[in-house]
Parts: sequence; structure tokens; C-alpha cells
Amino acid sequence: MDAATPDSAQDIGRQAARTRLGMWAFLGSEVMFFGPVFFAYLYGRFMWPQAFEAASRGTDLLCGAVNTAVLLTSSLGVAVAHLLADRGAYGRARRALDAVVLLGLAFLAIKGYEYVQDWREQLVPGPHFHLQGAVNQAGAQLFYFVYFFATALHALHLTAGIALMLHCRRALRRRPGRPTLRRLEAAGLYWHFVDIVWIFLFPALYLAGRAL
Amino acid sequence: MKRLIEVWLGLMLLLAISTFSALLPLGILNTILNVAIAVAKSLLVLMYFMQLRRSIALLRLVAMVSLLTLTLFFVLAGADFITRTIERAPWQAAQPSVAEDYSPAAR
Repeated sequence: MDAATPDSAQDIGRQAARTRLGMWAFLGSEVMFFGPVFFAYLYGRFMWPQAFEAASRGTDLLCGAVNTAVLLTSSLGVAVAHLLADRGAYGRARRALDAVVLLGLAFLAIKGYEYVQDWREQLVPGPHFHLQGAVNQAGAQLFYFVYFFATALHALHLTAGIALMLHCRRALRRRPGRPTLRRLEAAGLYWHFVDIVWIFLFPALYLAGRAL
Repeated sequence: MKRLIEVWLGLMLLLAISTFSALLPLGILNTILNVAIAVAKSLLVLMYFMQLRRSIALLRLVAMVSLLTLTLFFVLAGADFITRTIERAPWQAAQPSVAEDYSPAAR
């Protein structure tokens, strides 16, 4: 490869491919990270179906559904930001990232509100745990253990995602170009992955046993 | 851009269907619908937002391999867990009992 032309089309393509492959490999390890949480849920749902369904009815369906919509919309924002930046519309791409960050914060705020409600309703696992109407309190408590672990882990990932988006937004302003675009694409893949985790958490934690 | 918005509309529609169908007493169909819709939603995100649709085969392979490995773990760990009797330690008074969950009162 000629050192005088480091930005040949082939080189750009290779760098982009490397970024994507690296990010997908990382997401593979993230799948392994979240997988056991889903396994714990499946095991509990299989062993104590009544308790898990009763406990699932104790979650706030409206908050869960609104949060799913918020997160799916934020994913659209990331995809749009990448498309705009790819076309050279860096200003508009930054506006799209603004919306993404705001939606991410809105998600965390709604989740926080839910946590406060759960605390007030004695749904936090511990000596004071009590789910009204549940026969198997210990089984219901296990559900809430999985619920808090899964949603907190997800919120932690979302917080990291918001930090990445803020970083990309700043990079778009300071040094727009190919490297920034690659960074935005990698951060976007991460954001979409966190979105997919929630796509599965939502029916598992909020919709199970909802119909009586 | 138009395609992305169409995909988003599809995702919103699926979200509405899964939320409202969960309120209808459909028995086992509730669970099947929930899982099927979650899979459909993730496929939309994977294909269009994460651009796997336009990606080279290697990337799709990497994505598939992690899912297959996870499936393998689920099968192996699941076979172990569901065939194991829970031994209660003396200090574990709060261990949930399976019998309690299947008692008539719990129904």
C-alpha cells in the first residue's frame, strides 16, 4: 500500500470493516453477559410459574410500555444520526444525537420513578418484601430479584450508551470525518444492542401473566 | 431515511400488538405471541438499524455464533437445573417451595 495515499477507498473500507467486526465481537461477549440473567428468569418462570406471573402483574405496565417506545424511538434517532453524518449533514446529525440523549435520560427517569414506586410498595427483595395477593411470597421475591438485577444492569448499559453518544456528538462538532463516523457507527451498534436487550426484558418482566 | 422511519413505525405497531395482546386471556398463546413479537422486533433492529441486511457474511456469522453459543449454554445449564432437587440449607427459611406454587390456593 502506498504510504502517500493512506485514505484510499480500499483502506477506508478495511478500517470500517475492522470497526464493525470488533464491535460485533464485543456485542457477542455482551450477549454472554446478559444471557445468564435471562436464564435465571426462565428457570424461575419454569419452577414457580404462578409466583412469577403474580409478581409480573405487580410491575407498572404503562411505564414499561412507554419506556419501550422511548427506547425504540431513540434507536431510530441513532440510525438517523449515522445516516445524516454519512451524508455530511453533521449539524443535523448532532440534533438527532441530542434527541437520542434526551430519550435515553427520559428512559432512566421513568425507570427511576418505577424504582421509587417499587420501594414504596415493598417490592424490593429483603426482610420487608411483600407482594399483595401472592401466595408464594418467596417465589415472587425471586422474580423481583431478577427484575431489579436485569433492569439495573440494563440501566447501567444505557448510561454508558448515553456517555458514548455525548462523546460522538462532541467529536462530530470538533473533528467531523471518517474516524468520527466509524466511532458513531460502533456506538450506534452498542445502543441498538442495549435496545434489543430491553425488547426481550419488556415481555418477560411486564407482560407475563398479565391476562387473568 | 424513509426506510428507517417505516421500520420505526413497524416497531411501534409490534409494541402496541404485544402490549394489548398480553391483556387478552389467550392461554399459552400469550407467551408464544410475546416471544414471537420480541424476536420480530429484534430482527427489525438487527437488519435495518444495525444494518446486518447490508453487511458481509462474516458479521452475520459473528452475530449468529454468539446466539448459538448462548442457546447451547441454555440447553446444558437448563438440563442440569430442571433435573435437580433443591436442597434447602438450614438457614434458608425463605427458599421458595415448588409445592406451594402448585397448591390450589395459588391458582
